[in-house]
Amino acid sequence: MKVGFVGLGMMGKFMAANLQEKGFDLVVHDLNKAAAEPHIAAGAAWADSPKALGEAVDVVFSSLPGPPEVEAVALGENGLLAGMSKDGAYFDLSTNSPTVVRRIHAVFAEKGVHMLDAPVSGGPHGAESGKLALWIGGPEAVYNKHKSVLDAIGDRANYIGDIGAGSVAKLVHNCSGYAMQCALAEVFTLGVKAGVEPLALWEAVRQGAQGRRRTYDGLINQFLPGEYDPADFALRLAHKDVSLATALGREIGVPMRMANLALEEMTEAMNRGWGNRDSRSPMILQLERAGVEIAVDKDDIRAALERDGAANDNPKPN
Amino acid sequence: MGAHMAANLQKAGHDLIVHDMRQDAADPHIAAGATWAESPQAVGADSDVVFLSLPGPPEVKAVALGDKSLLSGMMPGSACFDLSTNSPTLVRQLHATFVEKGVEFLDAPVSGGPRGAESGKLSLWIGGAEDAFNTYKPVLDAIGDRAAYIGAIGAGSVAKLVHNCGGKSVQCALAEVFTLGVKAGIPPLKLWETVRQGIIGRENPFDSLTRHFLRNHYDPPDFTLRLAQKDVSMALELAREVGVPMRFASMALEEITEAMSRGWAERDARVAMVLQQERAGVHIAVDDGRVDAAVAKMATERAANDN
Repeated sequence: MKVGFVGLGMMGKFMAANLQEKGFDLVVHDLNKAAAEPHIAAGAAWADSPKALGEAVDVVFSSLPGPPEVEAVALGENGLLAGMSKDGAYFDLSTNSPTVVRRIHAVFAEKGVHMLDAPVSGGPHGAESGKLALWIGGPEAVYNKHKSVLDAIGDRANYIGDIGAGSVAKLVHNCSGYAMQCALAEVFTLGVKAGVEPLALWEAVRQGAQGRRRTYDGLINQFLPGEYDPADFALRLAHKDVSLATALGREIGVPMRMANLALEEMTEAMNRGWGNRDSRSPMILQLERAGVEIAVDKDDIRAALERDGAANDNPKPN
Repeated sequence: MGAHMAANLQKAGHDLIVHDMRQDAADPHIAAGATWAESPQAVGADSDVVFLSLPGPPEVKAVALGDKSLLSGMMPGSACFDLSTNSPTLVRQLHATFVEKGVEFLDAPVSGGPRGAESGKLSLWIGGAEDAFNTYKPVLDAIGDRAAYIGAIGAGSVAKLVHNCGGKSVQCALAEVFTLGVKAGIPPLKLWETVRQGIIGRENPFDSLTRHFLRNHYDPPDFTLRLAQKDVSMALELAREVGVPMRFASMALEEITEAMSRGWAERDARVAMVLQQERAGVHIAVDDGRVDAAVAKMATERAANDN
């Protein structure tokens, strides 16, 4: 199978190299031809444009900064679409807008070419080592047909759903990281200003309940099944804790935008009469605001944990 | 929490004297050989070391200093550990009052929940006199597998508030992004399974702090601020499109945008965390060697724990 790769930057260069190492016949293109030299030295062919690349291969990958670059490569003059043939497949590995990938998908479909979104997670280290998640949205048959190529790029290529689903998952993942980063900057400045040495503080919280589990595993027992009773830890007590933390912030002069917002959520939930429900019950307020209901069967959650393959290390749902 | 911790002390062979507002809560402990005391004062008079596990500051203050108080019973040379999640300011006041009478007072909040209290997989974060911590370390070890000395009086409580408060902000942020993903069409469990395999989902929320924030190293970037701004902007555009209010993520974008205006676009995305340090008047820059050693130690302990 001839494979095309557009975008040999921080992430792309590693993913392209891994495809070559796994024996795929590679054609490459980048705005900066010098970026292609290591790949050409390893046997890849150079294409002068996305169009020329599309003409030469069966499947194309792009790894680009964002929506404008992807639109230019896919649909621009001398773009991929101008070169690719019917039944060809194009996977966009960039972190892209679900709306943009759906639009590109529709334009490609008119010409009988499959376009799938396939954003990756794992950073440059993951791209290099192959410890990389790929989240694919688009026609499942096309995903299955190219699974061996996707597996050459990352160890966790998964089909998520229709076109755009991979990008939605990627945005959810990255956005949670940045919101969490702000929240953690706040509480760490609080702890340090209150007199605890930064590394001692990190070592302590790292051994706490939050530090002992994977980021999203706190969602297993209440939020995913939609069950907030009986309380694992009562909202009333959590409200007290966050009140104490924000009071300490005021006492020593640490602004805490996110913690104060979290406290407002918890106060509102207390006013619903949820003081003795689990402290995750304020999450219901966001479900209401978004007009979304979440109630996953617990057996399905257990099965998902088992599928993960590290089941021994996993928390057991209640 | 207290029921399980007291039971674990008994199981480890410590001679226990108990008190609670409700005497029937003490029945299982008395059946297992514990002695009942009528007041905190009576507990203090007969114990070398006292533990408190109470809802919060008012209850701790009442037990420590109120009617028939613990302090009025305790002997010079004895020690009190407060396992409650308490205000650092209050534990410092209590510490000062206890020390005047020659009694040690340490804050020792725990983390691990009722299941951790029962199984003994519990962290204890101790603030106060380090020699008292060392003296009573075997007793602390009977309560939880991770009793650690954090610093001077109040330091344990500060760590606990940082941990719990951080957790609640994170919880709000996760509720937001999950409602976004679900409303944008991904079934909840599929979404959870997916993001759990991402770089954030493969680790706990605190480990990423060791790469940039604790070291104060934001160059060269692992992932540029410019790209982070693009990602969060796209998430918020999607949210507006499908109608999901995103208070926390909007605030995160404001932080990132402010950091961009500082000219930090090509620095690592975590550089936005410097803004909060400026607002708080705090500068965090831990020596690389110390961070590396702490990370290695944590990995070793983790491996030992898994075996």
